[in-house]
Amino acid sequence: MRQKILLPVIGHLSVKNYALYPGVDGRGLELPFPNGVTVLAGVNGVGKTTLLNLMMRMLLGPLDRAKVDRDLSRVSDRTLIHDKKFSFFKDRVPPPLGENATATMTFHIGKTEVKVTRYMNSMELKATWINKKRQEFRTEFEFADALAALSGLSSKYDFHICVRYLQFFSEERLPALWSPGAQFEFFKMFFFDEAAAKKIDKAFAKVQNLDSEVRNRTYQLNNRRKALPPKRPTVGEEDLQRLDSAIATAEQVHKQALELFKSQQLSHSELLSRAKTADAKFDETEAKLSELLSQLQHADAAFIAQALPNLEDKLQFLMLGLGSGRGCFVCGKGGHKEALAIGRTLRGGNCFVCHSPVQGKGKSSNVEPLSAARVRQLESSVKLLKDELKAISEERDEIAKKYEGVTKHMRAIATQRADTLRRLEGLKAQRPASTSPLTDLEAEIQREQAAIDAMDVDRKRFAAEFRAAVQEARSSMDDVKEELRAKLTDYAEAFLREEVKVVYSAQDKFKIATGAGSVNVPTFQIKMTSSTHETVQERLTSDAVSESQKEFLDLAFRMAVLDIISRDSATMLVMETPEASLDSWFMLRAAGLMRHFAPSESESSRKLIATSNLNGTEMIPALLGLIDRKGRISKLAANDAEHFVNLLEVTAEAKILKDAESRERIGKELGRFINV
Amino acid sequence: MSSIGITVSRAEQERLRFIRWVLLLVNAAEASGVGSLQRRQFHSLLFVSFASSRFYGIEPLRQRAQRTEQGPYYRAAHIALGVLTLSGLVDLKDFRPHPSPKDVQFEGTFSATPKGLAVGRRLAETYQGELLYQFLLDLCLGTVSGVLEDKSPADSKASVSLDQVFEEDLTYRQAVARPGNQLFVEESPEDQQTPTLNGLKSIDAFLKQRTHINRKDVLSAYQTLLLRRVA
Amino acid sequence: MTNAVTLAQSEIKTLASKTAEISGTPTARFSQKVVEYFNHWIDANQPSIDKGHVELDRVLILLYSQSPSKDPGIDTESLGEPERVFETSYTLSNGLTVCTENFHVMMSWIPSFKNANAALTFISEKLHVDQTFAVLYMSQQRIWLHQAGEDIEEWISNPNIIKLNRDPNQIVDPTAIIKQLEHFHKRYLEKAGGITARTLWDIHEEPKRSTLRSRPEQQIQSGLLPFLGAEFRHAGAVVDEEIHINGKRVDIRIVRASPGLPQVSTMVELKVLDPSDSQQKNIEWARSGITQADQYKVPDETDAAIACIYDARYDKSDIKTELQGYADEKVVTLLLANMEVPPPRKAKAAARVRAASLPTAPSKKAAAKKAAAKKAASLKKLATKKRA
Repeated sequence: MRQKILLPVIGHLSVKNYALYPGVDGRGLELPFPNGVTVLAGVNGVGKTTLLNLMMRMLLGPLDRAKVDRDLSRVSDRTLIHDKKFSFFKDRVPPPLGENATATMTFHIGKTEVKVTRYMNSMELKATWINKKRQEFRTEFEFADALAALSGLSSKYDFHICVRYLQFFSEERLPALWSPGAQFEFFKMFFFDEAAAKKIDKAFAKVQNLDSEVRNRTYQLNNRRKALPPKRPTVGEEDLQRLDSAIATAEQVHKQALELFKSQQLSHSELLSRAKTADAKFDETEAKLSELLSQLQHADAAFIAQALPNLEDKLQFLMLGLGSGRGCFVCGKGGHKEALAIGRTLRGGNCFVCHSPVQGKGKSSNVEPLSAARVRQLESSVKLLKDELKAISEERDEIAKKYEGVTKHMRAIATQRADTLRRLEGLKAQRPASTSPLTDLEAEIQREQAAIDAMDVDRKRFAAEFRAAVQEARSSMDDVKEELRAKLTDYAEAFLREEVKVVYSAQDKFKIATGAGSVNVPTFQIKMTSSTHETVQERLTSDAVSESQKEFLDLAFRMAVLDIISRDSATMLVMETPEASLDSWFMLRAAGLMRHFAPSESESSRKLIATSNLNGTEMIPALLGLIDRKGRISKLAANDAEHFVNLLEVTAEAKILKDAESRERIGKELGRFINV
Repeated sequence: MSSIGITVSRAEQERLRFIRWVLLLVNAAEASGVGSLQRRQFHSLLFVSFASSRFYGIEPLRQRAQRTEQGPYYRAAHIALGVLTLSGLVDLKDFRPHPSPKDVQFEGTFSATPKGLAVGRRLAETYQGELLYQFLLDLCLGTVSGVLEDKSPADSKASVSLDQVFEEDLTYRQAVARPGNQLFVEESPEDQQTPTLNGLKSIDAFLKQRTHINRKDVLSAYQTLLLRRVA
Repeated sequence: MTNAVTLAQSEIKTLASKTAEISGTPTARFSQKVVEYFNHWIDANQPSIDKGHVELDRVLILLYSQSPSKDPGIDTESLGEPERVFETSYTLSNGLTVCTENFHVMMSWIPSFKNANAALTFISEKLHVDQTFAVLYMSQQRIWLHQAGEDIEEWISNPNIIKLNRDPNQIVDPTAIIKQLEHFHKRYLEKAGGITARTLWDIHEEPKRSTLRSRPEQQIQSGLLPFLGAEFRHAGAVVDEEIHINGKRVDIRIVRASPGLPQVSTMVELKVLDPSDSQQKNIEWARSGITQADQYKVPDETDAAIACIYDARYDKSDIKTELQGYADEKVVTLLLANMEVPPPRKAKAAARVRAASLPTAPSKKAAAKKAAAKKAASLKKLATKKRA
């Protein structure tokens, strides 16, 4: 199995100068998140969803998946893109939204404390701290990489998916338990050996790409087949002559079009190859430059270190002070003994005041003498390389521009070539039984078919590779499958109060791509008794359970996975409570389940942050653990106050509160479990 | 070319670059005739130097200073000054502890020493060192011609101290207007624009139409304008 | 007091009277400042000069230092407390004064020299090859300028003399500028022994031929700036190098601005052809000089752009034809001037024989030895200098 995975756990969120959350007396929103369950309660439109989104975006920034697909497992391009026009939060308040509107969130990944400040209008990074030390990240990607590295996940993409779709159970959630592919995706991220996971992803991407190309080209080929004119009608001699002359003309026209196409293709491919060369050169130069820059940074610092007096000089200076009767800087003593003591400390490589280690121990640092000329040489090389890079970049842009122009032209010419060919073939086909058994068009169709067949072989080969890799990686699940099965069973039973049978199987068919067959991936399925069936039924699809039950089972699956990967370390789940259509009995079970996931007191920090509507149900007191066995509701203790956030107090005045009746109703509801 | 093969930890690199900046600034103040600098003047001048260094294509070492009652404050500068004073590269007069809850700060007047000037000349032997010194020197020369020798009618400047002028810096004014205990130089490091830089550019654009000028003149003109705001 | 974080146009407009200052390296600015000071001094003291109150051999040494009081660059042990003097009183005309580049701080360490001879003796004994200083001959309107790097003894015997041009009717135009450029070349660059030429070469023992040091253009530029400054400053021209925001840098720029008249400028680009470079590379280098000169032109302002190409190649094969065509095309004035390559040093044995046969040789040798020792001492001093 792979290294331990640590997930972010939010500690504190503050929002400044954002109209939606003015906070108490306009001082901004300040939300601490203690261990256990925290409920963010409010009426519709008060900004609950926005708040959850904000917490998520503080972790993820304005990054998104490069290709958005409902199904997590169908992604072949596992990259993130930076949405430069991200405006989710900006769009929620009246303009203008200034630069002073910021949010700051503190969270932990394992023992590391991360603090991040982002601008509300764009979610761009403003400042970041790691373990209270200021740290600069030049891009969102760098920050995401750093978080991924802290969490032990193998890429920022994985980190993104994990936070967004596992830890956050929000409006945009995707089915997990109910999608074998999604289950597989999570297992691969958390439990598979990293190299194996990479191998699987790579093979999958290849299959996907080949598959789409095969399908596109097959579709086009079929269209061309359909366009073939009916064969060999009978024609008279006169017609034949006319036809032949038409064929000759069409042949001429086609030949011209073909030549034009070929010449254009030549310049097209030449440009392409030039573009590739320029790209390679650019990458190479850039790499060289970054290497040289890093060398220069070190050399520059070493040069400064060398120019500055070494410790020996400092010691001399101190001795001078002591010797001249000025005495020790701190205690004023000026004896030989004190001088010796200071000398010893400095020679030992420590500061004589605080005893911390000092760079360049002892007499002089062991840096090889570095001449200014050497540094200058390095600086000149950097400058030259920068100029070179600029030149290459300009050349590259120019080629790209030309290439774009040629491509456009090329497309027109290709169409012309195809049209003239079709016309020629059409005419030829009207000719009675010609000498050549195959028309050119038919030959081209055959060639295309052969090319597609070759690709299909590749597609099958990669699919086989993918299958083999999955097969091999499946054993990684052996360590956790039992535990996961047991957890999931517990959670599911606790919620449904039915006998639930969770089955782990490696038989679930996962279709890799349309033409590439399917692969057996490891997944869990839920089978349970129900009031109408005596036997344990398989509830393979979500149709077999009600929508909200289905959502809670999905939640249970997430909790089980989070439990396994976090084990004894901190964990967090942020959710929008899907309470709408649950009957009250289920609601209490659901609340219990959630409290069970994040008890207030446990050895490691476990948090569940949930939004809830003020809809008169008992969800909120249940989540806060205020309902006793007999169904009586007690009031929230003062020292637990942080577990309940009344968004009505800290958000822009909700419209509903302007009407006295609703105000009274809400006051009454809140009064059941808090002191209003 | 072959690799230099030297590694210096990142924290150490930052510390060293800060020391270089501080030493060259003290030397530039001496060589331009500004002379010795009091604690507050020093930190303000440092802030202005960070706010305007991009005008010379130099990346500032710090994006923010701490806000204290005594003006902007850089912890790193404080440490660098300690090191430089202890090494005899910077002279410290009128030493006394500074009443600040943070760090063991000291008040005093800082000025160059022959040894520090010699080290400074050595540091200016690299292109980066040369460019940095050139910039800091031009900045201080600008202070002399724009503030100390300004021949404009604003003659009440006898009572105007250098730190008052530096604290009129556009970036500083913007930073002070913001809440919080940080004074920002570049709010978002990506755009690399400071009000100071914008100010310098508009002065440059204006002067360029009327007379031949160079970067130093722009720095000097800028400080003349700051002085007029104080006086 | 306004707290706006932008500059209002109304504020910026108050800068209308702002005049440019000299740019360049600190020592180049110092040299220019010396010329300016001398001009002002003459203006202020014309009556006494006319009455003959200024003795013929009264000299003032102005020595550049980053810190005139703390690090004047002279041995101050035998000297008294320095006196702070002020530029604008224009009374300073004797002794040794150490100045910052902008003359904001001037410390007079030696109030007077008995005569010019005493001053030169002081220089020979106390000043170093790496210092920049000027000797002002107060009654002659001449300056002996020593730039860092020039051997002191050689310099004393063959100083770089700059004569202030005080002609009230002097015209500054491209013709006059070209004349001065040619003049400078003839005096300082053409022969291998010329003052500026000497600082450009590394001379090796034969048979290895002499090689150019790096950045020769900079060396020539720092010689030319005060030279042209002395010539044109009085006529109201500013001679300096321009470094602008976009990083473009004009080697030399001569600007004339008269009240009410549009400003006029002449741009000069310097290039030295290197004997160790290929023919092709040298031609490209020369062409780049022409291209740059062309690019420096400011529309409606620049009356001429001059490319000075100094040919230091060994063979001096013809390139004029090729370059002239390009210069004409770009409308750039081309000044192509030869520079002699110094002959290599004789091998040691041969040198000894020669030395024995030449009566003047021993003194020269002693001088060279002294210079070398002095150089070493000055470097050492810089590194270890300690003051009370």
